[in-house]
Amino acid sequence: MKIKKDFIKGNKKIKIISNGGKPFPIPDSWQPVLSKCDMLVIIPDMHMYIYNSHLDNFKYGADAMLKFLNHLSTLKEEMELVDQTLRIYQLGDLYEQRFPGLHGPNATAIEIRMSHPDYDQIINSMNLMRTHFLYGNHDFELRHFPGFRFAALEGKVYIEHGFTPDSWQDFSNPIASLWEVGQFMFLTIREINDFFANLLVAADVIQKDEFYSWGVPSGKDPVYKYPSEKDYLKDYGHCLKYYSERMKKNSELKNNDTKITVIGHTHHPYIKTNVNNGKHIFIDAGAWTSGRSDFVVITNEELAICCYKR
Amino acid sequence: MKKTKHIFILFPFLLILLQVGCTNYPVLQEPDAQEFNQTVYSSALRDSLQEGKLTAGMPYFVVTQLFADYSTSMMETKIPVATLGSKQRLQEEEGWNRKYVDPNINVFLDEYETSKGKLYVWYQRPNFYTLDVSQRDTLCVFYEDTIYCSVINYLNKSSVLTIRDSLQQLPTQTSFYAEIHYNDHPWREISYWYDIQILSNAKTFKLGDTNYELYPIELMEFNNEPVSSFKWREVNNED
Repeated sequence: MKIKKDFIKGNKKIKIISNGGKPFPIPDSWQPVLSKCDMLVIIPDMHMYIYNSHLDNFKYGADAMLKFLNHLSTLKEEMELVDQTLRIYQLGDLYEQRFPGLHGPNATAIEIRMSHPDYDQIINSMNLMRTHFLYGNHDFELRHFPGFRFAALEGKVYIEHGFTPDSWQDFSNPIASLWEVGQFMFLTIREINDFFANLLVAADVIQKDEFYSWGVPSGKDPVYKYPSEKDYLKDYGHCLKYYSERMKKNSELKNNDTKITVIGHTHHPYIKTNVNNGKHIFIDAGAWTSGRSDFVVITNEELAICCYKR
Repeated sequence: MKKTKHIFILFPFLLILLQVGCTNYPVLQEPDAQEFNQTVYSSALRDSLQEGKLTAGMPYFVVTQLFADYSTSMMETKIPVATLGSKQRLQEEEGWNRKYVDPNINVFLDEYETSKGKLYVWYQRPNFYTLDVSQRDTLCVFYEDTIYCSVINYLNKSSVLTIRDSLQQLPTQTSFYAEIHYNDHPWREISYWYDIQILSNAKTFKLGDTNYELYPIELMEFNNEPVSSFKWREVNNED
C-alpha cells in the first residue's frame, strides 16, 4: 500500500514532513514488515491535561485530533470492506499525570478525560477504533490496567514510548528512568507553577484560561516544521545510540528480525534510515502537543512521519 | 469556669446554626428546551422537561444546565464509581502519594446540595452490552417525522447491532436519535440513544463518537430515596 494513494487519499490537511515530503521506500528484502495488519498508524505523546488549566498544552490541537480520528475511522471502515486492517497505536503519554490534580497531588486519567467533551470524545473515538495503547513516563500508572502495554511488536516493527534511555536532565537517572525522587521533584515544580499561575489570575496579570506552564510551549501556534538532524543528535543523540545498539544486539544474539524501531517521548520528529549500516531504521514519531501534530504511517512498502494541519 | 465552658460549647453551635440558616442555594436554571428538542425526540421525555422534571434517560447536558449557577463547594461532579448506585469514589495510590484511577471506568456520579436535600445522579457511557440490549428487542429510529422500527437480529459487538429489516430510507453518515424497546427485561422498558448511525448495508447500526454531554442519566437518588424524576421547580419554590 502507498501512503499518498491509500492513506492520505487527497486529504489536504495531511502532509508528509520527513524525507523532503516523500514517503521512504522500505527495502524489498525486508518486505513484508507488518505481519497482522496492512497499515500502521502511530500517534505519539499527547499530554492531555485538565482542559481549563493554565498548564494544559494539548487543547489547541484537540480539534485537529478529532478531525484526524474521523479520517482514520473512515479509512478503517473502508479497509475492512476489502478485508484489510488498519491498526492504530497511541505511543504513550496520552495523559499528563505529572501535573497537579483536582482531588489529589497529581491528575488522574479520568479527571483529564472528563474535563471537556472533546477530550472524552477523543478517548471514546480511539476506543471505538480499538486503538492499542502503550504507557509512557507521564502516564506510567496506566500500566496497572488492561489494555496498556510497555511495548509492542508488529511484524518487524518494534514500538515503545522511549523513556528507557532517559538521563539526569529528564528528572531521571541513567539507571532508573522513572526515578521516584526525580518524579516527585517534577510534580512539586508543577504544583508551584500552578500556584503562581492562579496568583497571577487573581492579580489580573493573566487571563483565567491563559497558558502558563514553565518550559513548555503553549501550543497556541501550530508547528509543522521538521527539525534538523543536527538538533536531534545534539539533544537526543543518546536515544538514537541506545536503540541502535539494541537493534544491533537483538539481531546478533536472538536472531531477532526487528528492522524498524519507533519511539516518541522527545517531542522531536526524526527518521534515520541507515542505522547500523542500513540494517535498521530508527523513527522518533514527534508529538501531538505544544503545537505539534505529528504521527507515523507504516505500510509494507513505505513509511513516513506526517503532520495534520489545523 | 463552668460558665466559660458553656460559652465555648455554645459559640461554635451558634456559628454552625447561623451558617446553616444563611446557606443560600442558587436557583436551578431552566434547561435549554430548544437544544433538548433537537437531541431528544421522545414525547415522554419532552413532556417531563416541560413539567420541570429531570428524568432517567435524559442526556447529561440537562443536569449541567440545571446546576449551571452552582459553585464547586455545593456540588461534586463526574466522580468515577464502580457501578450504578455506588457512591464510593474510585482512586488508588502508588509511589510517593501518586493517585490514579482506572481509565476504563465509564460510570460517573454527580452529587448536589439543594435546599430540599441531596441529589445523586448516575450516568454512564452507553453501549449495547452495558444497557442489556439483546436479540428480539426493537430498535426505533427517528428520521424526518417518521419512526422506523425493526426487531434486532443480533449484536455484532458492544457498539454495533444488526436488525431484521432493511431500512433503505435512512441515509448513511447521519446521526439519528433512536430508542430501544425491550422485549423481556426485569426493569428496563426503553433506552434512549442520542447518536446512532446506519451503515451502507441498511441493516447494521453503529454508535457514533459520543461524549459525556450525551451520556444518558441512568439512576437518581434524592434524600436517600431512589427516584424516577427530580422536580427542580418544586425545589426552587422552596427557596
